[in-house]
Amino acid sequence: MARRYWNINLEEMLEAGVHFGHGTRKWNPRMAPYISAKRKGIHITNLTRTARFLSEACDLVFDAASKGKQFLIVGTKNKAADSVARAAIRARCHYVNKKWLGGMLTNWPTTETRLHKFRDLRTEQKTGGLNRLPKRDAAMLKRQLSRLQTYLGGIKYMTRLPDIVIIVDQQEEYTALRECITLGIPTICLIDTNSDPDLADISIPANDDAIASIRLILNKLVVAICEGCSSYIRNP
Amino acid sequence: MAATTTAIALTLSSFTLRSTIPSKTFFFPKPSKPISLRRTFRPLSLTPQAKSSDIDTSFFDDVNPEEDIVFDPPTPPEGFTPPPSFDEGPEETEDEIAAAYEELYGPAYSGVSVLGNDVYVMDSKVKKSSAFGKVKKEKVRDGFEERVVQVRRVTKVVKGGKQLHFRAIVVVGDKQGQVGVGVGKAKEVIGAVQKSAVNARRNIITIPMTKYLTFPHRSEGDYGAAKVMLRPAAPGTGVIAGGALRLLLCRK
Repeated sequence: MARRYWNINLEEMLEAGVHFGHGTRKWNPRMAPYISAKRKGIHITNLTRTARFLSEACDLVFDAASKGKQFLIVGTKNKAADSVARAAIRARCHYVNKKWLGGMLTNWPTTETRLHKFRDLRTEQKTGGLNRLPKRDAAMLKRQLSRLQTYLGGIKYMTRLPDIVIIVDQQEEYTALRECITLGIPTICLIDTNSDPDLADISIPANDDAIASIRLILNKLVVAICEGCSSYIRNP
Repeated sequence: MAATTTAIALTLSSFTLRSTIPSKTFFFPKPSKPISLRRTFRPLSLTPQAKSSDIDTSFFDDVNPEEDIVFDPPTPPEGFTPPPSFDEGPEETEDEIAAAYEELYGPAYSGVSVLGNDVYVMDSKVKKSSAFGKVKKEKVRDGFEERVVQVRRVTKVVKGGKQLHFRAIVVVGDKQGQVGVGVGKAKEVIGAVQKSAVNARRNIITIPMTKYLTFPHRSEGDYGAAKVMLRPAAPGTGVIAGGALRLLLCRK
């Protein structure tokens, strides 16, 4: 795996506040190797480790993308939802930014049924079939469509299970993480001081509360995916 | 009989110490059973599927966080400008986004096709259920044979009365050393047997067998009140076992 330059500066990360952890009381003792100091009741993560892990993760993601793997980005926090959607659209990956429905991956056949329904409703809407129905039915279908759009909008191009899953907050997306573990899908996780670093395959200790820090890390990963994709298109 | 089957599964899995397949601990309802079988509980994240993929996670598996980890990025190439973040940069119209996605993944479930592909491409993946009764499922799938060990009628008492279900325990194997046990419940026997077969195919254990298709050594297992002892015998002896064990070994 060749190591490339991903423009990871420690100063940039300090500015974004990647090194802040959660309060001292809520920590997970397994994070002890990644915590460097304790300041004002908040744990501070060791930024050199974060930077190293982030660069290795970017290398890995670049390799995977250049082999044509599919990615899924999961982030359901209110603060992060918007940036997750934009990052995924930019990288041409699938994403989940509203609630992660239980069994989305482990119960994939049922999710496929829902996706079929979503597609049929979309085609109906495009061809104007909804206008021919009585108002009440049309309103019901429109409501269903908007529901499916919020929950499944990001995965409507997903034909099979993803190869790598990127999770933004481990505490928040615990169900998603567990599903990936049972299915054996490699995961990349943003770990904060209250999460367990042994669960995910690749854990990046960072701050998951601040929008700036999530944006920074997502940015680096998205750049890696884009480069990998373009190298895959050039020589598959 | 259910306890016996679990005990059998425990015994068989004691053979798997020799091989590197992790034992599927989540099948057993009481994972804290006696460690006298010297079975290691591997974390589920080490399932073979992740390793057999060609994603090289060697750095993250071997890194020891206690040691000093240095960060020395390679030098940036000449004239390196940091690419724009995903927030800045030109806003893409929906059509452009849809076209880009469709190039990569095909129209999938989006319902609209910007590049002119067939919108209903995913329909061929759906198994069409025929209008008359159930579709005949393919009997022989991927070389595994199923044997029903037990079918029992179980009851759940609710306010309105008793709700009856059927619970089937099925053993699945390919007679070359791969066995699996599965449990399934449904309102009809056939449905229960099918569910348990699906479950059995998910938890398969590989047993190392000798040239004469017998065990490598003697082993015992127990679960609850059931105790099972398996021991190899000289060729020509046949199978001397009763009940669930016979079904497992005779046709394995």
